Amino acid sequence: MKTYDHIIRFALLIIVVIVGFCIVRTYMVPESFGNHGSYTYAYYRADSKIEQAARTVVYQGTEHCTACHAPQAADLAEGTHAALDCESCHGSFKAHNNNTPDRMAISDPIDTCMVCHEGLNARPSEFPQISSFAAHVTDLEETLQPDMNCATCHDPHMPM
Amino acid sequence: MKHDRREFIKKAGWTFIGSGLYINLFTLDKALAGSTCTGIRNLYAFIVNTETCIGCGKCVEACRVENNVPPENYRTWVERYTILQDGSVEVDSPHGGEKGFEPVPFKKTSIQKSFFVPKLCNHCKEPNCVQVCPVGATYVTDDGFVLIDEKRCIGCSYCMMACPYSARFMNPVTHTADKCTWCYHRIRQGKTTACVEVCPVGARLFGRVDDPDGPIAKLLKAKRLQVLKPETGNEPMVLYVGLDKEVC
Repeated sequence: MKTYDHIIRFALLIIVVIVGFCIVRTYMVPESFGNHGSYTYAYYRADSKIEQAARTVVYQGTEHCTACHAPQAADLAEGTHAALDCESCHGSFKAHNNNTPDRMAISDPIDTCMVCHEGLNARPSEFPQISSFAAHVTDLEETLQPDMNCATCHDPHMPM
Repeated sequence: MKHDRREFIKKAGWTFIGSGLYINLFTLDKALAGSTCTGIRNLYAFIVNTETCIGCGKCVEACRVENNVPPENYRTWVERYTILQDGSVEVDSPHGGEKGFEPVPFKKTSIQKSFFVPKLCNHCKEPNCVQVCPVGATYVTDDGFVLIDEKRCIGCSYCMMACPYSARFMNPVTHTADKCTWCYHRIRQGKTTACVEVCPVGARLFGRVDDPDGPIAKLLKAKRLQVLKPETGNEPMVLYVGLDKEVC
């Protein structure tokens, strides 16, 4: 008399393992995870795109600033700094919250300009550059005053 | 039950023919279609003009603030190449160029030429980094952005090793791989990338390749463009104007 008990027990064990795996997998794998066009390049969780697209924008752009600062924006559009964005020099709009507009003011009126206009070999030769602030002032035969900065002669919004 | 050799060979033959037909009719066409048609279209490109870049580092700063990049890690950075008269090449990028550059300690006469090369993730057509990810945490969107799902990333850093451009880094805060997203959130919300927005000389341009009035289509027509390390076969979508042979 043959008995199949051991085979049945084994089959049940296999079924339990498979069902267990399926249950665990259902909870572990996110719903939107899978192939979205290519196993090589597009096997991912689609919700990740939605989450990333919803992140807050920090830099707001010149148009946003123009709403309140129209005169400055008009000056900027006329001069040689027309290609600049407000936030290029003033930093991100993020600092403008809690009614503290001073936080966007330029703290060092020489260094702010020298970041771009200090003479470097690697800069394109046609780009306006000066070797140092003091040398620039004396080159123009002006007397260097202690309280002088770039804004003494140039309007930063329309420098030339 | 009798088993003879003739019967076995007959059955094996039928099985072989049957499985061959099955593969041909039902699976091979799908497999082939899958390998050529991925559904991904590389609709966007980024153009960097090394001839106009002044190395002010505004892009690096804007990227950090916009994307909350931890200090001393860079999603974009600016390198300065100084090629000397004797042919030697000096490359420096202090703090990724974020605080600007100091003059180089060489005599002006000993310098043959010098220029800045801003770098960022190339959002390649065939990205090695995506191919090697074992958990599907990095991927190409259907319009060509290469992104990272930080919730799935296990921080194994295979992608960092696979990227020939060293565009990826391990984020010390999240302990996941991190890199430039081409400001995916800004593009989806109708703005351009933060680095493009703040660049004072227009050395960075971003837009759709198929927009005839956009900046990219115009430069694609007007300029001869090069990519970094074309030999790696990644097919970058960041294109460079005025790239020197010394740049790698």
